[in-house]
Amino acid sequence: MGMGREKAAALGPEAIEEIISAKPGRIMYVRNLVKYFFLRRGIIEFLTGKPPRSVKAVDGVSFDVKPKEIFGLAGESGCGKTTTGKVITRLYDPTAGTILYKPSKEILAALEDISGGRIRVYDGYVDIASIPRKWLKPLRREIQMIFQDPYGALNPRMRVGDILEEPLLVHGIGSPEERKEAVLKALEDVRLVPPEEFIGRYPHMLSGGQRQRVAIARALILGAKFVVADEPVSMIDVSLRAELLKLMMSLRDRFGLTYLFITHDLAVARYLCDRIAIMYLGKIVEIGNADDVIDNPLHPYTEALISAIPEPDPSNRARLRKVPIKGEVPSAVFVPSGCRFHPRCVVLDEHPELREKCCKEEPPLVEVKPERYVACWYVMKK
Amino acid sequence: MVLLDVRNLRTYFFTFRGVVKAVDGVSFKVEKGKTFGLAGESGCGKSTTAYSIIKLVPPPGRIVGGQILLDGKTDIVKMSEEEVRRKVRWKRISMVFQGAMNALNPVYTIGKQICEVLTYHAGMTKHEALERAKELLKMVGLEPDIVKRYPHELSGGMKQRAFIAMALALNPDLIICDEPTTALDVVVQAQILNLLKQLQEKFKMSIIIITHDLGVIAELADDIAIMYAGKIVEKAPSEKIFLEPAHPYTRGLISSVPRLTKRVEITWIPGLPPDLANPPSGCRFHPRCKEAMDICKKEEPPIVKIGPDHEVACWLYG
Repeated sequence: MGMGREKAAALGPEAIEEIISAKPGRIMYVRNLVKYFFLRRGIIEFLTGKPPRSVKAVDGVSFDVKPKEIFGLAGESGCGKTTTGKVITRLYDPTAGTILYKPSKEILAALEDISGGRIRVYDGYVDIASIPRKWLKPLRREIQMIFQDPYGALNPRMRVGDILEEPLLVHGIGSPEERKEAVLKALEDVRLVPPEEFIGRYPHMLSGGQRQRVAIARALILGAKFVVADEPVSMIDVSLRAELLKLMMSLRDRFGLTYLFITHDLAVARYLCDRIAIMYLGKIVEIGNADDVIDNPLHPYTEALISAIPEPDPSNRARLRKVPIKGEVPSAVFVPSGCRFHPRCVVLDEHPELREKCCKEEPPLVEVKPERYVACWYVMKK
Repeated sequence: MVLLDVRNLRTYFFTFRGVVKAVDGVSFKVEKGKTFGLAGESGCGKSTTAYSIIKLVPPPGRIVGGQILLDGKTDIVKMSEEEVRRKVRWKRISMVFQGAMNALNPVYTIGKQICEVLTYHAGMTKHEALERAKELLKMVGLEPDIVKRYPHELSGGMKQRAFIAMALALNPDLIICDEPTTALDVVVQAQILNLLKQLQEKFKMSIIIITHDLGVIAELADDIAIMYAGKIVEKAPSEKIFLEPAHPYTRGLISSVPRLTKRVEITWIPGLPPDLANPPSGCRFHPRCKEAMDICKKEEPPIVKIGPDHEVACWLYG
């Protein structure tokens, strides 16, 4: 997996075939995904012709998602996890990269129809990153997003029934009676029962947990297959989180959903996710089975992150918590050279012979064990 | 030695919708040099309890009853605003607010804000205050030349440290930390919690830590009170709360937290916290309680002792 920072053109069929044949049967392949936000130049910068600076929110991210799995994307605020989710749903357009996704036959037919057959299909996969916006509509039925803030995600002036009916109207599905039926069923699916009682309510009449369930129902009403869930429980009271997490798991089993679950909470990630990827400053540093990554972290950053999490264990107060990390997260505008974690890495201090390499060369994400990827020169050397 | 003794504190908000009993008969003691934790979910009254202790309850809220005894004699509730400002705030009790990063004034330098405390309350000259401010910043692990910086130039963790430095300025006996790490990332959170531990070790002050995060409270608190709907439902040493929780709410809360070190099954508490303008009759938790009995709906459970330091308000133990 090459991870150059240069802007890559859309991949050719051979390259795509290579990606798919290396790990066959995935529902999504993300390769070298890049999203930069360009900053406005000041007048002097403009006049002197300086190139605009950019926030490198996502800077070459690669991962695969298996069908029906819950894939966690974890990291601290500002690491680019939400941006990755928004690029995959094409709420943002990527700066570069490939997102291969295998839609259902029906959606594939709709895509060919809307584009007049001009969308390139490789072995049943389409590249979400290169589809023009005007042709994306059919894909939106399958790829949906649930947002962090259930208070901001629902229009306060619309009733729950109208909120849920809107996607059906936008996609021109069903007669009024059929739509009503679908809305009632969607509410039942997320256990807002009896559904008749909820359709007439406004969002402010619902609790945070109920609102989030309306948001889930809205995401699923068009028959979504791939759901990007961006911190869906972080604003919900602790005592109610488990209910929502269990609901998400049962919906996965019932409808065969695949989740990309974005979270900063590794305990929640471990509970819910099959596999997790740890992000730092726009890049994935480690991917693996959720239990494995947390029990045996390989990357020094993952190790620091895990050691920092307080567990509800009263004996913790007797000791200071050792967090093996230095300094603070640098700005995503001025990303450190080489391994972007090197200024904060304590392993590097213990191994000065690696300094040359870590400071100058960016470590690629390599499979060190089956299904276990790490981007770290030290781990690779071992 | 008891430093702070809160007895039957009641703080109500007089809104157009009616009287919201945010804190309704809360009693607890904070020992000298110890950390007291107040845990509960949003809206349970834990922050209002903290604001009541330094008499900063925002209107339309008001302390309507109870005592807050400092050193067993001075009642903060009875003091005038002027007296509280001169004798209590900063000098005896200081507070680190929820989102302390936003509690700093954006148009003044960090130095100026710390110096203000020192010149007004300790009568220092500007020069003395500046020297002391630098010393304080060093103590919380910041470079002394941060005195010249504005809040926007610092990261969230640095702002939180600066605010803790300010809270320590006059060597208070008690620091109230209201969700001190909620807005911070876990790595920074761990550093701030370590800092609080080290400072307590050094200065032997008491801390009240208020949070919804049971992991954070386990990290600091010696004694813990669990609040629900304006009342304390259980109060015990930290070990008892986590290892032998008695109240159904405490048990539910603890088993709803996913663990990092092992995959455990988590559960939830059905229903929603009550509207405090119109709380349920009897035990306020009964509509959500799996073990509710007839008496729970009718009569409010008294606080009973079930162990040497273990108190519970639940009819299961009544």
